[in-house]
Parts: sequence; C-alpha cells; structure tokens
Amino acid sequence: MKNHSLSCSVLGACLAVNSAAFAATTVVYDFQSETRYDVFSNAVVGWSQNKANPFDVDGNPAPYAYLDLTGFSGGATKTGQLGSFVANTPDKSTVTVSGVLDFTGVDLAAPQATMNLAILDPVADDAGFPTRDSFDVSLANTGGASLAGISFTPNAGDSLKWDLGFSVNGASATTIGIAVPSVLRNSGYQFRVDFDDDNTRFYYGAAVTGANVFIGFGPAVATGGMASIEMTHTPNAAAAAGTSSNMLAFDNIVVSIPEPSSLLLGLLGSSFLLRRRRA
Amino acid sequence: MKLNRILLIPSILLIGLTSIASAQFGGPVKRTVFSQVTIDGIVTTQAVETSKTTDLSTGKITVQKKTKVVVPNGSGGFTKKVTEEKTVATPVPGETTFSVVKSTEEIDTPVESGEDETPTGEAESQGVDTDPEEIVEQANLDTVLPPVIIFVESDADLETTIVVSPT
Repeated sequence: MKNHSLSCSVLGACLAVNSAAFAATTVVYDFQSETRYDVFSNAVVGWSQNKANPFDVDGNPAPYAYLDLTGFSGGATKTGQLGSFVANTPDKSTVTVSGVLDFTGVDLAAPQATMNLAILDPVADDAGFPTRDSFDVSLANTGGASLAGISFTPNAGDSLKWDLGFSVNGASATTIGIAVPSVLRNSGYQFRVDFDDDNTRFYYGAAVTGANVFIGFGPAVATGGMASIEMTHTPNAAAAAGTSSNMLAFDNIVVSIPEPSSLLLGLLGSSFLLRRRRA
Repeated sequence: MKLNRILLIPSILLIGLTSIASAQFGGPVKRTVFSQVTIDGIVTTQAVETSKTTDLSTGKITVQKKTKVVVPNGSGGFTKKVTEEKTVATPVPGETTFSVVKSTEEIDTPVESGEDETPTGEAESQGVDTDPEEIVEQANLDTVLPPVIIFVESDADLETTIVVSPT
C-alpha cells in the first residue's frame, strides 16, 4: 500500500508527527493493506514487475515476488519478498520489482529514504540449494537510472554473510570504517539514505534499533527526477538455473521530502539555536 | 423453467470465481525449478517438480517427478507436455532389499501460446510405460530414486542482529 503523509498509515503518521517541523511529504510502503501472498506482478498497489511469472507444472503461477510474513522487529507482518523461493528465471536473468514514488508537484529537495531489508536464506536448504544470489535496492529517476543504490553480494568466504556495497549515480560510494561491511542472513536491518546539497549518505543498523550507523557516502546527486524504488534479484550466473533459494525481504519503505518552505524554516530555527548557544 | 435459469446464472458465476481463485498463488509450499532446454532445435522453458512420500506402516517410498515443457505443435499452435515419472520402492519382506518399479506417463494438452499456456483442448494421455521390476539393496536406493527438491520455508521471525559501529 502506498500512502502520502498525513494519511492513515501508522508509520506515515508517526513520521509526520516526529518530523512535524518539516511537514514532509512522504510515500510509505508498509504492505499492511494488501493480502498475504499478493504478487508484485499485478496485485500490490503502486508496484510492478519487469518479468512475467512462469507457471508451475499444474498451471498455477509461480511468482518471483510476493507478500509473506517477516518479523523485522518483533511480530511477523506482511513484507515484500523477491527471489527464488518459489521460482527461478530459467535463463538466469534478473527480476526487478518497482514501487512508484509519486511526488508530483513537490520540490524534491533533500529527500530521505528509510527501509527494512533482510536476506532470507533458510539454513536447512544449504544442501539442496548450494548457490547464492545477489540483490540490489535502488532509488531511481524517471529514466530508470540509479540515484543511490545498496547492493547485497554473497560473501566469498562466509556462506552466512552478504557483503554490502553502496553507489551514487551508478558509481561506487565510499564506505566508512569497515572495508567491506556485510549483513547476516535471516537477520533484520534498517537502511537509510540521506540526500542533501553536499553529499549522499548511507546509514544502517539492526531493525529494532534503527539505521544509526553511518556506513558510506558519495557525492551529492540531483534528486529532482526521483520516481521509483527498485528491488532487483540477480541469480548466480556461474551456477545452474534453480540451484539457489534466497529472498530479499523489504518493508516499511518511507521516502520523505521536506517541503522547501518548511526546510527553510527548519534551517532558520537551527541557525537561531546555534546563535543562541554561542551567545 | 424460469427458476432453473435463475439458478443457472449464479452457478456460472460461481464456476468463474472458482477458476480464478484456483489460479492464484497460495503460498510457497513447493518449489519448481525452471531451466532452458533445447527440443527439436527450439529453446524452451522446462519446469520440474519432485515430491517424496513414505508410508510409515508399510515402508513403501513413492517419488514423483513432474516435468513440463511447452513446444510448438508444427501447425501454428503449442502443446504442453507434462511427463510424470513415478518410482515406487516397496520393501521385500524379510530382506534388506526393495522392489523398485518406475512408470512414466506423458500427458499432452494443446495450449494457446507458449507464454500463458491457456488450454485450447482436452488433456490426452500418451500411454503409461512401466519399466521391469528391479530389486535394489536399501543402501543403494538413492541410485534409483530421483533426487527430490524440498521447499524449506524461512522462519518468519528474523534474528535480531547487533551491528557494530565502524571505527
């Protein structure tokens, strides 16, 4: 489900209250209005899929992406899931699902995006599905070009880990502190991307505590054309088709745009506070 | 007569709803492996599903492997070919061997296209082939039973991860 700020979404409402000073215009996808097992190819409002789902032997659709239950921070709720639990692409091609970020009429200044992400990789399937897949999350413009991206690549030495990569305008971003940060399978995380006039910053953290660790940055990017959030599943090209069983779980996607007037007021307020502190 | 017609309309509507519902995704309870194969020089998608059941009272093991391909029928249409291989291993009383019988049946269904697989005619069996009985030692059963793909659902509750701040 897609909500604009000040609508009925609990998450959106909380965000609107917390950032009341900025009166942000917000798009939220928390999927709570949809039904479990709704597929992204045609049933999840605001989303589309670039590839048709195949049919199983009995003639039923075998979806690449659908809604199922995932517990990011206590209690399982409906989340988006993309990958090869149910079906794999026969030609090992990628599958992308895209959520519309409709900010028509809004000045896309200094947006911020937060989302819950996790790599699902059932421990018991290691023998039956030995290979692992990659995933990408991208905030894209109207032309489909990535403005900021987060990538998950299987760690070469540890089958429990996926290495993180960050990109801005399609070029690698600089990671902070850790040469190659990674995430553990079957563990819930929150990620945040902050855009402003100076740079683009990436944060992450455990889903329960929030994205509070500054992990990477890149140059500032023109966010004026930001139009979608895209999740992509990339099978292992070197492995036989259908030998992996991984999913990217995604939920609580919140992309907010501070309105220019509110942003200006916020900046004025901040400068007033700074001046008062100095005095 | 009028009453029958009135009853008929909701029945037709109900049939329509049922067929739509049966085509919906009901959850990840089984795994289909898709791959590309070349049949008569044409690259097509093959779908394979397997299942295994064991009768605990008799020890009989049944492995079913279903393979589906959609191929052109040579006259502008397509044919969906589903091959069902059933392998039944029955314990031989008083011995450590199993009697293994494998049967294969191909069922062909004319379909509209290779993509949507909408049937345009009745499914038709091409006959059942049954291999001669084979006696196999229990230790060697894996050599005659097809490997089985088992769907393993991920636990819905994710682990809480502690993220260490970069230094």
